[in-house]
Order: sequence, then C-alpha cells, then structure tokens
Amino acid sequence: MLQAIRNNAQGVFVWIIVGLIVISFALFGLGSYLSGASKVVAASVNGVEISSTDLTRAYQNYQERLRNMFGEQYNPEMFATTQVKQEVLQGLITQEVMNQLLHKQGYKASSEQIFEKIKKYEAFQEGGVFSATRYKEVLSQQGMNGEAFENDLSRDIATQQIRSAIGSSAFITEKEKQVLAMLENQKRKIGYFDVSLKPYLKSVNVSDEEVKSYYEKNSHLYLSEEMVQIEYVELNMADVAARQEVTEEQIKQHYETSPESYMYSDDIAAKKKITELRNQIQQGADFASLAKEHSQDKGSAQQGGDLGYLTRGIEEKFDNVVFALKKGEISQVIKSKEGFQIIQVEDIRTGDPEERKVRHILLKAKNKLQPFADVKAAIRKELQYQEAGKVFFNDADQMNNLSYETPDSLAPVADALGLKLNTSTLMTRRGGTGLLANPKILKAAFSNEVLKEGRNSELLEISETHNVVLRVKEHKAASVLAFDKVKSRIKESLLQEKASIKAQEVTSDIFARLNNNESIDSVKKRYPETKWVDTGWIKRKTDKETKISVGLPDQLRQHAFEMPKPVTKTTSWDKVSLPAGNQAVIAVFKVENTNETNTANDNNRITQVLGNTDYNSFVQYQKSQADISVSQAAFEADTNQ
Amino acid sequence: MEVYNSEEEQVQAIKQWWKDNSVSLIAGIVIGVAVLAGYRYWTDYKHTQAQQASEIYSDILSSVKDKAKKAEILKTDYSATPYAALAGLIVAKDHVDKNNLEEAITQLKWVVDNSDSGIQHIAQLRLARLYLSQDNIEAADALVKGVKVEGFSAAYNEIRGDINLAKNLPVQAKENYRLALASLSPGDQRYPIIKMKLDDLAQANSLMAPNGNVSAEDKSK
Repeated sequence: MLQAIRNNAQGVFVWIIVGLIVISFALFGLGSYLSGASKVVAASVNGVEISSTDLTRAYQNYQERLRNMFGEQYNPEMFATTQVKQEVLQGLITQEVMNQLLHKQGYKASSEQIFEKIKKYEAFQEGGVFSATRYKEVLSQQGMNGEAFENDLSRDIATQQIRSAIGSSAFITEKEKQVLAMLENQKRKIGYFDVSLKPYLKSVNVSDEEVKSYYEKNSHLYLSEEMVQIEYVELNMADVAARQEVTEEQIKQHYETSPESYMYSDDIAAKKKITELRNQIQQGADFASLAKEHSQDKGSAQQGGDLGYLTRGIEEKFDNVVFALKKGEISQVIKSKEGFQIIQVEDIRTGDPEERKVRHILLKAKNKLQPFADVKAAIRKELQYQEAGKVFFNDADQMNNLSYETPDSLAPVADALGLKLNTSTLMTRRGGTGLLANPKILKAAFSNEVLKEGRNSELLEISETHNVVLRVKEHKAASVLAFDKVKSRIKESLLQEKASIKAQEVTSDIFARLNNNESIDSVKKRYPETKWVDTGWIKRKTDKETKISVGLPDQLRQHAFEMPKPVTKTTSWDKVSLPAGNQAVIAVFKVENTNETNTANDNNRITQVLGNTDYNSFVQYQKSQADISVSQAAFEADTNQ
Repeated sequence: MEVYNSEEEQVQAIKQWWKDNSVSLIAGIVIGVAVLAGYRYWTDYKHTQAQQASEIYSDILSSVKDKAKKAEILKTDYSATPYAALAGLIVAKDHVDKNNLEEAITQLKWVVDNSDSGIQHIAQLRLARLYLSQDNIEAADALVKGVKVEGFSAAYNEIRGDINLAKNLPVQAKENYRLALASLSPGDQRYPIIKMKLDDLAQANSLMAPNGNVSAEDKSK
C-alpha cells in the first residue's frame, strides 16, 4: 500500500498536500501554531484568558516601579499583597477590554505612527538617533519579538487616541460657566459656638478603678512590640583583604617589576634650579648663555633661548606673562604644561598685532621613583585586595552552602571561614543602627523561615562586597504591657473620652436651644466656657486663596457650605465635629450669590475634570458590556510571594 | 472497511476514488482558497482604511489648521472607521469654544448616529447639555429621559438634575443629584461639582422658595 502511494505520490497527491500546507502557512503564519501551553487562568474577558503568569509578571513590574519610587525605604509589606494584586488584575482586565474594543471597532495605529513612537525610545537610540540594529538587539535581549512589540505599541497609540478624543473634546458652555461660577463664588454669612474640649478636661474625673477595669477589658490594645535578637556572620571584602598574607618579597617584587606605577614628577628640584638661574641673571649673568647651557627647550636653547618675535596666541598663561612684561624685564618663575620657565622680553613692536621678541629658559621636572618605604603600605593593600578578590567569592559560596546545609546553627560557617559570630541586641521591626537598620536584614530576621521555622537566612547581599547570613537567637513575641506602664496613658484617653462626651452633650443642647429660637446671648450666659465667634462673610475657597476669615477650621468652612440655606428670618443651625475632639455649632445667617466669574484657569480645570471623568465612564461602560470572570484561586495560590 | 486482496486492487481502488471525486475535491480547494484570499483582501483593505483614518485623525489632534476640513474627509471617505466619530467630537468642541452651539449640535448629532455605543453615550450627554444651554429643555429631556447605563449613570443623573432645575423642579433635581453621587466614589473628580449643586438646593425647615433661590440672594441683586 505504502509503496503504491509512494509511486503515485510523485504526482497529484503530493502536490495537493504540499499545496495545502503552503496555503495554510501563507494565510495564517507560523505564530498560531507556536502558542498555547496549558496555563492557570486568573481571569477571562469575553472568553480571552488572562493567565496567572501574566498577572504575576504585571505584579512584579508594579513592585519594581514602587521599588524605584521608594528606593531604600521600600518594603513589600507596606502593600497588602492580595489587594494590590486585585488592582493589578483589574488593570489587566481593563487593558484586555480595551484591546478587544480596539480590534472590534477598528481602531488602529499606522506604521508611521508606530515608527514615530519607536524612534523616541532612548533605549533604541545610538548617539541620540534611532538605530535599527540597536532596536533588534534590545528586543532580542529582552526576549521580545518585534511583531508583538509593535502590536503592543499600536494598541497603546490607539488607546491614547480614544483617550485624547474624549478628554480634549470636553467643553463647558457659557451658561454652564455662569452656573458653576455662581456656586463656587457663593458667599455665606456665618458665626459659630466654639465648644472646645479643654474646659471639660478639667471638670471630669477618672478613678483608679475605672482605669484598672478598662485595662483588664482592653489589654489586647496595649501590647509590647515584637522583638528579636539575631546572630549573624558578616563576610566583608575589607576584612578578607586585611587577613591576606603578603610577604615583604612579594611587595618588593611588585615594586621592582612595575616601577612606572610609582613615579612622581620632581617639581621641587626643577623649581629650585630655575629660581637659582633667575637669581644669577638678576645678579648680572647673561640670559642667553645660561639658556644655551641649561634650557631644555631643544628648539631654542642653541639660540640662547631666543623665540623671535611672537604675537598673542601661544598659550593663555604664557601670553599673559609675555604681554605684561616691560622691555628687558625678567618674569617670575611660571609653571606651564611644558615645565618651569622664566621669560625675558627684549623688544616690543607696537602695532596690530603687537609683536614681542622673547627669550626663555625651560626646565622640565624629572620623573622619579618613589622610595620603597613610602609606597610599601599602598602596595601591600593593593596585593591584599587582589588576593581577597579571588578568595571572597569562594568564601561567599561556602557561606551560602554551609548555612544551608546546617540550617540550625551558624557556628559551622563561622568556624570554616574564620568569621566572628556576632550577636545583636533585642530589636523591633524598626531595627537597630548601622547594619541592623538595613531593610534586607530586617526583612530576613522577621521572615517566616527565620523567625517561625528557626532556620538560617539565605545569603543576604548587602552590597557586592558585603554578605551576611543571620538567624534568630531569641524571639520575644508581642505581649501585654504591665498595668503600671500604661496606666497614665489609659487615664489620659479615658479623660479625653469623658470630656468629649461632655462636650458633645453641651453641643447638642446648644444646638437644640438655638434651633428653638433661644438667643445667642442667652446661650452664651448659660455656657460661659464656650466661645461665640462672629465670623461674618466667608467663601468656599480657603483663607490662602481669599485672605478673608483667616483661622477658620477647614471642616467648619466646608460644613457651612453643605448646610441648608436659611429661609426668610430663619437662621440655619447645625453641629459639626472638629479635629482633636472639639465641637462647634454653626449658624448660617445669609447666603448671597455674587456675580464674580470664574477665571480661565478655573474653567480649564473643570473642563479637564469633565474630560477625565468622561473617559473613565467610557472605560467603565466598556467593562460592563464585557463578560468578565475572575478566578479567586489564581491569586490566593501565591500571595506569599 | 473493505478488504483488498492485493496491492494491485488497492491501487485500482484509489484510482477509482480519484476519478469519482477529483472534480469536487479540486473545486472545494479552489473555492476554499478563493474565500480565504477574499477574506484576507477584505481585512487588508479594512486595515489600510483604519491606518489612513488614524493618520488623518492624528493630524486633526495635533494641528489647528483645517481641522474641520479633515474631519469632513473622515466623515465622507472613512465613515466605516471609528475615527470619523472621534473627529466629530473634537470639531464640536471647537464650535462650542466659539459659541457656535448650532454647529456643535449638528456635529454631535452626526456622532450619535454614526458611532458605537460608548462614544454614542458621550456624544448624547454632551448634546443634551448643549440643548439645555440653549434653553431647549424638551430636546435635552428627550435625549436623557430614562436612560440607564452602567458607567454613565452619574452623568445622566446629573444632566437630569440640571434639566429638572431648569424646569423649576428642585425636589426632583435633588433626587437626581443624590442618585448621581450614589454611583460615584467620593474620590471621583466629578463628585465635588455635583455635591455643590446638591448642597445648594438644601433649605432650612425644608421651606422652598418658589424659584429655588433664597431671599437673601434677591436682596443682593
């Protein structure tokens, strides 16, 4: 049978099959055959699945962003993992909903728009210009495929198009401006009874029994902080280096084989010599002959240091000296790139440019080898670090292995590597000082593995040249604080509570009386400990913006504008709680709409708000139209990560 | 399953089968290929259209000149793409800024008739606000009456409140604003604006002045 096919197959069959294969690849591409490993599903949107791998990746990216934002301060425990993951997942769902919308409605970025965007990424640029090679390199380094990346960009661009269409097309009509300006600039005439806590704190009492019984009922509120004492070994490049044996021989050998590292330029001798020459000239010696004898400027020495007529433009420092000298004068010793010089001006030709005939003597400083005794310590250190570099990574490896193999003790690590076993004091989650304040150390010390299971931590890389392994020596769980320690705190809070109840009673009574048309004066007499404040006209905006009614608590101002308006001859009264247990009873006497208009800024702000919220509504609407299901299991599985 | 006695017979059978079925098989393949090719051509055409529309739309966003002209091109030649509607929103805004409410209304009406439901709601809400700004209360009312959609419910309730206030029905307006706030979180940017409108309608002793304003205001005028 097979033989027959083989024979016949030369013809039609093969061509049909090959044809089919070719067509299917030509039409659908290779991509659709390569995807589709089984995965755990976190959510699905209209049947399209978001895998838990996608979720984990997005979550990690999010954490990475937080880490960049908070730097050293970052501690993953700051963010409740499950809640954050929920939010990240909602973000992914929104993205998927939008992607489907883009596809369905036919929103699409053009190739030019995509390319424009790619060109702007710094990562794809070389010397500020987009480079195609670099683009391919970066993508393959990131394990990304160009087509997928460009599709992502296309979606970003199209999403942004919708967003800006909705956002930037928001408007506010003239009539709406008037209405909002009228409300925002409304004035209200108010006053208030200030019922502060202070007078009542003096009038209330708390007995010792009350304090005691409160403590007994609520002891769970008064806990000491959990504390640990840790043991740790530290592997530090500097310590390793200090332990390295380097012999006198090795140091000497290093000194002799690479003397070029230990040369210095002997400025002192050169300067001394040229100063001497200058003195001789000033005492009458001939400049030219000294130059011939001593100058190290080979070009001019034979001519007695004569440089001929010069114009400006040799070197700034040299020019400055030459064109400041008088005819015949000899310069101070100057130091230039060439070496030490003295200069004499023999003749000046005024004109444009001015020319000066110059002689000079140049002495170059000699390079000298530093004496062995001076550099010995530095060479020793250098050699020690060279050796330590080889040892350190071996030691770190061994430290890692040993602490893992005997998880219940650090002694083997300390013994094997000759390290000191350190012990900290008891410390809270906030840590101690220096190394003990390092977030990596604290995170490890309070981790499940170390704290609950009593194991050695993994190797903690404090820096590239500083590793630590630790374990918990002692753990003091949070415990109820002794009564004596918290007595005064409890008494304080009970006093506050009682005073606050008193203040609330007074506030309620004042409110009731005023509401029943009792006069403000009569209330003032009845409660002399309170204070009536006649504020006058206020506006919604705060003091800083209006510069009126300074010192009015924000809550009070805000509440005054939420209160019902007074109707003819009626004052509108209400109670409001202020910070720190203080209370107030507010009166709104009058309301006036001003004819002030909003500024262009105000109107822009409102327009922007309308645009933003329209887009949010749009997204929310699209989500409500989609069939979304979230699998709870997907992120309960690994919340401990 | 038939049993063949020899390879010869098998070959014969295959040959026979080929004779009987070759025409329909080849026809099937040809039709299949044609359909697939047609589908490909059609999607390619749609992609090209979308990409061109996308480019024109970007031009409208980034430039000041010829915005309206380019929007017209999108409406006539690319009305199958969603970009025509987006351009309509933007041109409408420009008209509002120049206080040409009639023109803006024409644009938004077109968007309402020619967009998918999300953009449609946005256009419809804006259209209602324009009618209200022209004191065309009936037209505004007709657009938003009884509309209930998730995502846009605060916006619809707010405009219904504005309409009821214009009709001098402050009690109903209060209820509309209250419903609008109920569907927003207090952190929402729109919240304070609606809250301000609602608070302004509260009166002590729930006595309502006939026009919803207080006497103090009348004195100030």
